[in-house]
Amino acid sequence: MLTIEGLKTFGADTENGLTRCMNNEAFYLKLVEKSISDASYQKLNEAISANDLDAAFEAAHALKGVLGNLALTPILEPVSEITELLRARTQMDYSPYLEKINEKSEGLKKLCE
Amino acid sequence: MFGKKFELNEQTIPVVEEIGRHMPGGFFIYKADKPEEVIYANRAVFEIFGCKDAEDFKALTGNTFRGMLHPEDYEKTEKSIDNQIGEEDEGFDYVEYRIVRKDGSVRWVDDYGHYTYTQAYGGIFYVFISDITEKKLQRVTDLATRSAVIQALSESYHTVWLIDDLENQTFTLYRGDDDGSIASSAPFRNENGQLVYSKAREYYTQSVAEEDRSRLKEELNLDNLMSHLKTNSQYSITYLRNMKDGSQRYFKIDAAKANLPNGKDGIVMGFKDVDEEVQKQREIDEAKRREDKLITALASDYWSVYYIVLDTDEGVCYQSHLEIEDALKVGEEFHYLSTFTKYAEKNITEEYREEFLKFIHPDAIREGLKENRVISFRYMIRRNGVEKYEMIRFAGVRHPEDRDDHIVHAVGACFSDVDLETRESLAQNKTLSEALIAAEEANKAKTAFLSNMSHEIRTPMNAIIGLDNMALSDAEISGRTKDYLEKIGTSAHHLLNIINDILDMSRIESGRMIISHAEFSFSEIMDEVITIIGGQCNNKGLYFKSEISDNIGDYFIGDAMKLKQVLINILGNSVKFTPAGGEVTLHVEKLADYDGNSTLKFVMKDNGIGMSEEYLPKIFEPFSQEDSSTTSQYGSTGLGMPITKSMVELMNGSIDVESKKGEGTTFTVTVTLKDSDRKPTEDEREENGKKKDGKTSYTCKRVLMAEDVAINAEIMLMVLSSKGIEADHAENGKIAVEFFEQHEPGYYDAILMDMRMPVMDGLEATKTIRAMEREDAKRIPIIALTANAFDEDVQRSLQAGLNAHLSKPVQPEALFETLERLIKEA
Repeated sequence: MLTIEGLKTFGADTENGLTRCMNNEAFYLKLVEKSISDASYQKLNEAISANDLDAAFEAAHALKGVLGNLALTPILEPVSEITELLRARTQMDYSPYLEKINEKSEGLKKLCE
Repeated sequence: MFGKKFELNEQTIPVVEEIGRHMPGGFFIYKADKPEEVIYANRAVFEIFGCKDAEDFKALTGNTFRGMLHPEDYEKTEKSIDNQIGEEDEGFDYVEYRIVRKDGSVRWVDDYGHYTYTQAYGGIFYVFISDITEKKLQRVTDLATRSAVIQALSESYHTVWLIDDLENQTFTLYRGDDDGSIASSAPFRNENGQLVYSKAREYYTQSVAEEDRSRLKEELNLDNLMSHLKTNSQYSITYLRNMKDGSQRYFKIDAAKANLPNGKDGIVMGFKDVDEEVQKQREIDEAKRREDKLITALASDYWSVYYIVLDTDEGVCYQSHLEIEDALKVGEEFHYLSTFTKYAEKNITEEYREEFLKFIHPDAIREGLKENRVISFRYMIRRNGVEKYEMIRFAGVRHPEDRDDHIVHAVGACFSDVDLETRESLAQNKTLSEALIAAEEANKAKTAFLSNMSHEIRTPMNAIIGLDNMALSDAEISGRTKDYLEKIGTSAHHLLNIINDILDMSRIESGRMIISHAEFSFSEIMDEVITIIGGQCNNKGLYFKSEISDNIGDYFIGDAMKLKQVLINILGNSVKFTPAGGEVTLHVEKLADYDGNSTLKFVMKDNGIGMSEEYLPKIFEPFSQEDSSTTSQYGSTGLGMPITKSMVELMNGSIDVESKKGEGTTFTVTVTLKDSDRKPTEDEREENGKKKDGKTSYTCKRVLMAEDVAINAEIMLMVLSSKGIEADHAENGKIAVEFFEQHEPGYYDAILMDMRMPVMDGLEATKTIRAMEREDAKRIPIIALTANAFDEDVQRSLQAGLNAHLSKPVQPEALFETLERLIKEA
């Protein structure tokens, strides 16, 4: 069961996130839960493994927007970094970033259970 | 040796003795007259007979020639010597005979003798002899070996003849098995016991089938055979023979020249049954003939056909190219790759040449034929200044023995003229794609026409209805005029409904009907529905009953307008199809409540005319009405139900209908709406929802929001609805443009534009909106929503006509401030 307290422990900037949701906790929590199954996670992973940097950038960018809105800082940080690298279409090994993103999003998923 | 120059007598004998003593071989002289007394024998002769000296020799042989020979050999030897001396002028003879040595052992000797006449002794023979026992034994072994070899070699023949005397035409039979023919090669002998070739030939050819008989007889003429064998080491004749059992079989004679020991030529003839081989060969020949015919038949479709062995780069022409002067001739062999390359360089246009050469490479062919039975390539040729499409095809030629390695070793290649087909299909493709473009354009035009027309007609319609109402309110009009005006009003309303339906349908069909997600008051909507339907029922004399469960919340997020339209459409139909005195009921309840959503069920029931079971499935098809007379009787576009169903589906809801002819109809609509947390204030309760949002002081009432990410959109909608701002959500720039286009000027107060979106991005959408020819196109505030300040080129977005940037995540207060400021400025 996802709670504001749980999100705080996770490291989310819940205050900010709630402000954007007009302090509607239920709405905020529902969106956070919804964000976990955002297709962009998968798209990002697939695009990176296919070395399709254009598609990877699109996915990272979309993800960054959602995570920023919901103030899910622990995932937002690596996503922001990877977005900037992908914007420049840097050819490099992205797996450390992906690992961190996947690890954190898994952590969030656990909170929802 | 002796004779005229050297007279042998008592005096000369010692000389002979002196010479003979030193000779290594045996030498002796004996008198021709009986008892053939031996006049002289040298030491070597004694040794051959195993004797010590002359005494010993005399004791063994009695010093006679007869005494020297083995008793069994004397007569034969004597006869042979007589014969030879009689024939030969020189008086020489050669014989071989056995002797018995002193120790009793039997030895073979050879004897070179010469007869001469002397004064002293009369006729004498002087003879050289040597022991040839070992030599003779070797010769017998050699012969046995040789005949064994011949036997083995002739095994494949049932009969072998050796013509060993070409002059007398006689032969020796080396082998003569029964071969099952009516006349086995029965030998015919002459008076000397020799086999006579001509007779044997005559006899043999009787067994040959009639059609081959005279030919074979001629062929078997020895002169004929010899003339063939002069140039060839072997000569073969095949013919058909009649067999004992009445059948016919093929036989073959192989003839070869033999060098006989006497230095003369002979002929060896081997006979064998080759029926099976011939039959097999015939089958192969027949198959090949059939294949050739087939190839010729199949090849008629092609300009030219070739057989190519890829592994050796060899090709054979099966059908010659008629259009080329120096073309390969049928049966002509050629080097594949160089010939085809030359062809390409001479005939194929440059744009196709390289690809053609790649295509015909043996490796490419092998690779291509792995997957396909036939591979083909189309290209353009230029011959005599005319350009034509030509096609080359390769098909694998698989022999049974090739089956295991799955690699194509040989292929058939053919060239064909595909000019007409290609040009036709190119033309057809062009026609098709033009037709497609035309159809797409026509469809676009239709949609545009329908929506434009509906807009255009609605304006004068509003005028007609308005003026009609004004005219009706004029107290001075007569009863008849009032009646006319009322009828005008009814018709105008009907026409307006039709136009609205058409507009809705065209939006649904083009996928442009979009569901808004805005907060609305449920009780307010239900009140409106009940008022409208209740009024209609009242007018028609129907009883209307509505029940709404208490547990349904006050505020939901969804498309209130569409929900209202669905309910009014269905209930309006109920009213329409229920005769006076009937009953229409509306029942609403909450089915489920989960995760901030409520599933609501609306049951609308009447006891009107109903529908037959057969018609029910068609009710949601456009322009369908059970009875065409109902159109005139009840007045309808036939679009109401399809539109209703599409709207329910757009809301992710479901619609069901049950009906019985003459008993009535029940529609059940189920939709799930998001719950809103807003609770009605006391004021609002008192005001009965007449004022939408008591506390808003914002000038902004309705915005258009373009945002492709669902969660971001939800937050924005939530934020906006908290201030009572309605928002239409477009998933991309293109949809946003269409939304804007479809609503009258001033409908939206501002546009919130995400920059990065699929299909059409924010910049493009902004440019498109700004370029429209309508009064608010240049004026309406468009606010860019960007992930960060560096995300997009600010300069570019300003040029595109954006008024401001808001960084994501958007802070609600910043959003409201910007909206207020820009709307006031606008």
